[in-house]
Amino acid sequence: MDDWWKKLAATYRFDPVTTLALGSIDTGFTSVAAGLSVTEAFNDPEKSFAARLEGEKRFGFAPLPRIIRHTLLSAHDFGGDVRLPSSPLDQAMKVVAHPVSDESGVLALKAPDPKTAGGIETAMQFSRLQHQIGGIVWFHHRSPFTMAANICGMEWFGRWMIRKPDLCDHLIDMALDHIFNVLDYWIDTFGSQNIAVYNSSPMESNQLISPKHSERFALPSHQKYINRLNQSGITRYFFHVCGEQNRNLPYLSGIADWHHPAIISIGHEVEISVAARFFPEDIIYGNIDPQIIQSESPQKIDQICQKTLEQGKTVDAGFILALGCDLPVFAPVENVSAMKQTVTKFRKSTFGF
Amino acid sequence: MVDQKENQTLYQQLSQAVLDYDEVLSEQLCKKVIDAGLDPVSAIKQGLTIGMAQVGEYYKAGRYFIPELLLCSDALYAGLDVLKPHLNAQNQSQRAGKIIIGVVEGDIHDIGKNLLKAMFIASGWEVHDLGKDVSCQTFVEQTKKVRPDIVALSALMTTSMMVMPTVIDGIRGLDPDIKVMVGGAPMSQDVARKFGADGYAPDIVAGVNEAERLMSSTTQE
Repeated sequence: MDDWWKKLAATYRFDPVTTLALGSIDTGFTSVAAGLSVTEAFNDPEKSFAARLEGEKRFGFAPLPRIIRHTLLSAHDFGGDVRLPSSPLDQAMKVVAHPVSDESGVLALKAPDPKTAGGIETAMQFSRLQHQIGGIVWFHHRSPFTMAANICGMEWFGRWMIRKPDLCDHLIDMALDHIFNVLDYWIDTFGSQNIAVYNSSPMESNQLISPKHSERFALPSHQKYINRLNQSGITRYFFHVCGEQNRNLPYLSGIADWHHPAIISIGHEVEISVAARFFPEDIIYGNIDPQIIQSESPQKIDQICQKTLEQGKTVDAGFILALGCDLPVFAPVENVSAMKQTVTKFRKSTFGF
Repeated sequence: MVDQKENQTLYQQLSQAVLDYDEVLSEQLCKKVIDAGLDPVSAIKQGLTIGMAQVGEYYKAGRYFIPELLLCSDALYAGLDVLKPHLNAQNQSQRAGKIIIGVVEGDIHDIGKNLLKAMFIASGWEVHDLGKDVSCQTFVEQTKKVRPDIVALSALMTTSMMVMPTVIDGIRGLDPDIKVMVGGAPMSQDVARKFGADGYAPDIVAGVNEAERLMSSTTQE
């Protein structure tokens, strides 16, 4: 474990080692706040990275994570029609057409080129910029299950989970291999010691699938994923357990043999104390409802952040105040600033500076 | 001619086929309804609709999730495709209400909207589905054209939901009596109220109930 990560862990155990304050997933917000369009935010590595650095100074964000968009986006990488966001309403890449929608299409799928598919070249440029300033390079992808569902779309994937589970397993295996093929490219370029991996799993939420299906389809791929990650030499792991996943947590904690401390990011649907119970050796990251930062007053934001920090203070392995998902482009700047002020105030009252 | 008791058994089998997401059986049973000269409306109301209502209960109870709902809606549509050509003009006019549904601009997540559509169809509504990533202008134009009782707006993203007040204003400007309801993962009752919506549905199953409540409030007014 390197110094940077140790310092991070110490900080978020409320040991006042550094002045790091907030974590944030905010490509759209920081870019627009810096005067860029959302299209530039997702497509221009230099401008997007400069905006991210400016946002870190202005809003007190820690580099947790620094991303331009998904390093891998399976619908894009496997040959679907994917468009860049064109208005602040979008905030993410748009899948216009999935690569496949039938069995023969799935079976005919070929592994994407790990250096050129989809937006990989753009993500590599963004990673090089991070590396140039001596920072950790973030590798951002969805979970194998989520990526697999993104190849054919959840409407097909959901049906196949019941009707044709072998097809789903095949897609999940392809997604898993793709992740590590591209990750190998990153490791060859930057070295495993300089990479932090960010994995998110929105399609596994219990708003979409049952815990039973999560156990059947997602969990084995998580286990394979962790085994391969551990073999890769990468020790920094950030896992965004996206959405309502309370009933998946027991399964996920059962395979938590990743390097500790990892960062476990949770949405507002999961209680901080619950996440800390299931992942006692890891830093908990969250769990402000993104909708609140967009629609409430700075005073209300202050109250909510204060309450969340009080809850986070009890987490033994450490806590990072952050939103439970992406920071919306439309979040008022004064609300985001309010988060920073609350953290500063909290640190002062807790540590006296 | 099948007698009354046999009819009921047939309708129960039909509702069970929907609940069991048995698309093939649903289609077969509906063909049997037509071949026996039975009323297609009764088959819909006492078979398909009840089946989807049970699906909704399973969803609320955490027994069914999106994959199961997708297959149940397939079973519903398989049956409806057989029965629909046999509905006469009078049947068609006996609707629970007329609704426009769509996913707002900037948002391409339509799985919830598609399932909501199935729920409304099963409950006897005339549904006009505008699809996904629907502009404010299209919502207003279609409202003017269709003259629905209700317009239902869906959003899955915290950013895209921000266009809802504009759509609601546009519809209000056209006809203040048309009710607007909203739903989707980032929404809440509080946000719906702030946006000026008449109704809010936290999930797919609540959508039809909320629309019925709005229809009832319209009648009372």
